[in-house]
Amino acid sequence: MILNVQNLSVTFRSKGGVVQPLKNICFSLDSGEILGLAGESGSGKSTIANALVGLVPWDPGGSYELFGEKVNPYKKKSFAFVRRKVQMAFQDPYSSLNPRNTIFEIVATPLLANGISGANAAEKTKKMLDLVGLASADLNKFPHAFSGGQRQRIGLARALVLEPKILICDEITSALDVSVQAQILHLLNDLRKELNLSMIFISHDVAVMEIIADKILRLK
Amino acid sequence: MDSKILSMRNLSVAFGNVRVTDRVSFDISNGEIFALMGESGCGKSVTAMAIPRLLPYPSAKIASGEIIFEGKNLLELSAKDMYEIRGKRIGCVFQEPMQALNPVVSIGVQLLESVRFMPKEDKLKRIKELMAKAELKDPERILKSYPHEMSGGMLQRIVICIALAPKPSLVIADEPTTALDANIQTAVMDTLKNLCKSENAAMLLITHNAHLAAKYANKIAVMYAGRIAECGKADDIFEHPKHPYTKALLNVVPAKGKTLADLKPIPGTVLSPKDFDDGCRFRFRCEFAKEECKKLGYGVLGMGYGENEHRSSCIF
Repeated sequence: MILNVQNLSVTFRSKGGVVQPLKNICFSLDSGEILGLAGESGSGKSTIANALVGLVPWDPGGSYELFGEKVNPYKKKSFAFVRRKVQMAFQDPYSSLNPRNTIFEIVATPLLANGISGANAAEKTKKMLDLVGLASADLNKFPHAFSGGQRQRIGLARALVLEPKILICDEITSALDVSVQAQILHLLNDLRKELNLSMIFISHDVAVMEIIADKILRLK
Repeated sequence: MDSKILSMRNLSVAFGNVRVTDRVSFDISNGEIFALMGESGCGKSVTAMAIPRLLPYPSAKIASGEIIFEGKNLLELSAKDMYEIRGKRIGCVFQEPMQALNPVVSIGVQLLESVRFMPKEDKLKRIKELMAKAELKDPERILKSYPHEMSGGMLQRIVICIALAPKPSLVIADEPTTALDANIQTAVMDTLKNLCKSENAAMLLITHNAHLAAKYANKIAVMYAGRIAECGKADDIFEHPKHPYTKALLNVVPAKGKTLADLKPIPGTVLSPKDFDDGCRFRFRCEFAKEECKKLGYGVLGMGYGENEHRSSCIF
């Protein structure tokens, strides 16, 4: 078991009132496994993903264990450790890439933020783009030059360049055509074998979920 | 008796020098649901929006063909005559209900606008009758509300009411449920289908979703790179696909009981309109492609002329 979450609850408070999208969620993930999070819009799938990387605050009483180490979800600093191990890829390939940065800049940014720069960073970036099926000639192009499926590959390269152990895919095929969706699903399967990745795969599409996931957590 | 309400013949739409759709022909009969199915960028929306002449002007030009609707060629009508048809005889339902409605005007005013040519005493009656059929409960409250107070599914039902209120004989539904939640997609599609049926309107359904087309359409035309690849009755298309593209497309649709190995991605990418030529446009990705595919004359097949015939533009 590489990830274990117990009693994850999240409450949002606003002027309009209090909503609790997640209440006492418990799940675990084994090495190399793909866990599917299924459910309708508003059922809290993405909130789980955001809570795992510390983008939304946890309610008291939860516990979070990653690779045998206890993570304190109530301390912002402890998520620095999490983010080296857990990375995310997002739904909308058009709004998740900065239009003013080249592909090289986009994919290399996580490396620079973690103190890896120069030739080492360039080499890692090229290797990662190659792995997701993009040509190194594309390095200096901007996102607008790519199709939706290619942008999703860029998003995956950015998430994987730090060599995380767990990848969270938040509806990454929902905005794509079915033929491109099939390509991305195959790519995910290849990456999982190649990099020994575990994944949390979020989707509202039950058919896709049954194809890719080893086990499924259905939210209501 | 001629039951056809719309006949599109050899319609080509060009943006500048690039013909994005090439000699598209099909017929829609009274009361049926006709689906144009294909991936993004294959020209389905351009083809559909040419019918009510809603293509961007002046960038889009009709390069060839005619659109016969209720005996008149829509492409030859004056702007004033078109005004009598667009909305009244041909209704439209778009993808984003939030963008189709005016955010600062109440739902009631927008619904009544669609029946403005009716006698005063009939207007409200007609609207309420449609709302009841569209399963919109508590019409009084809805009529006073504004678009931001409604859910996406309710808004789309309202847009459907607006499209059908003037009693059109054809409704063009351009990806009507793509922006909605998976669980209410079927409910909204059912409403649309039932309303079209009770109002005796035919529907041109634009979709990229093969499940949706299979479930609702009577006839289907599969488009690829600006041309119709295959058309026929829905059952024929899904049970005995003829064109290699249709076969490949059905192979990538995830379904219950399939494994990842069953999903066979189509190699390569969709051809850019700049690279269109006279040969078969799927030949670059097709496993059966041969030398003669390069010079395949598309018009020879006369796609779409047969009433219920199952036809493929592939020579094999």
